[in-house]
Amino acid sequence: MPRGSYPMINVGRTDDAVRVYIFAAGLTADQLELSIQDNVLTVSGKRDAPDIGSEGQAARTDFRRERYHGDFSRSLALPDGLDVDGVEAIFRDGICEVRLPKREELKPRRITVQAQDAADKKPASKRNAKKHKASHTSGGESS
Amino acid sequence: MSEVTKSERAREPAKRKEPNDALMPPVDIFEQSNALHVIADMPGVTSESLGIEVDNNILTLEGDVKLDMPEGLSAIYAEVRAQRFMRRFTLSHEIQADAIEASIENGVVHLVLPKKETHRARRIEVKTA
Repeated sequence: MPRGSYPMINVGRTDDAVRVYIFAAGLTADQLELSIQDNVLTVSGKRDAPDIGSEGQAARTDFRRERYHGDFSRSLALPDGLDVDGVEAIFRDGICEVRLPKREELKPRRITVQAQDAADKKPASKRNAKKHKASHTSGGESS
Repeated sequence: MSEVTKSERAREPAKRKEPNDALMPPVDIFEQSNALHVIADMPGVTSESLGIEVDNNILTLEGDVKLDMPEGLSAIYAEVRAQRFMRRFTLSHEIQADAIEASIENGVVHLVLPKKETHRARRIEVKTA
């Protein structure tokens, strides 16, 4: 796990969409900037240093500073074939979930298998088979 | 001063090889107005899934990442490879363990660990001789 990179990002895929999870603890929805250009998703924003409070800076002694503060910008290349206009992003409990639907023509499709007509099959199967073959090849030539 | 709080030595290579079933959240620790503050990044953890425990001067901070992932989701790329955050701290005897307060907002946990009355900073008056 790369330590120190903020925010961390996970990407997953379902049949109909790609989902990007941005682990941006401490931000609110309007502090996170998302943009897509040329199939590259860019996440940027700024995480402010914690409020010093009314006591003032002098009253504070730091022991550990591991959390990231300041400006950040991360980009990631997205898979091809996403519908950029249909993107949705939801922010909750420090995670921003971005749903990028796949374009309609790239979604998996079910192909219905048609049963051959039983009446067609019955008489003189040999002759029928020849006919089928002939029509098939002619079809192939025309296309 | 450094022994006020001590963290587990998870950064050492030998310890890193342990089964990686929990993530170690990054923390800020500072002292302010007679209390220690621990701020931890735990995105996806909610107030319901957050657990804080003090046992034998060991403070355990843990929480499950609540992510509603759709069925059939397969990972393409993952930096967060666990569903849980966990980190332990050794408290110094200065901390009043039964007065620890915690809050969580947007995946950031804020713990306030007050010092015992006897260990608070005191102003010593200088008398003129």
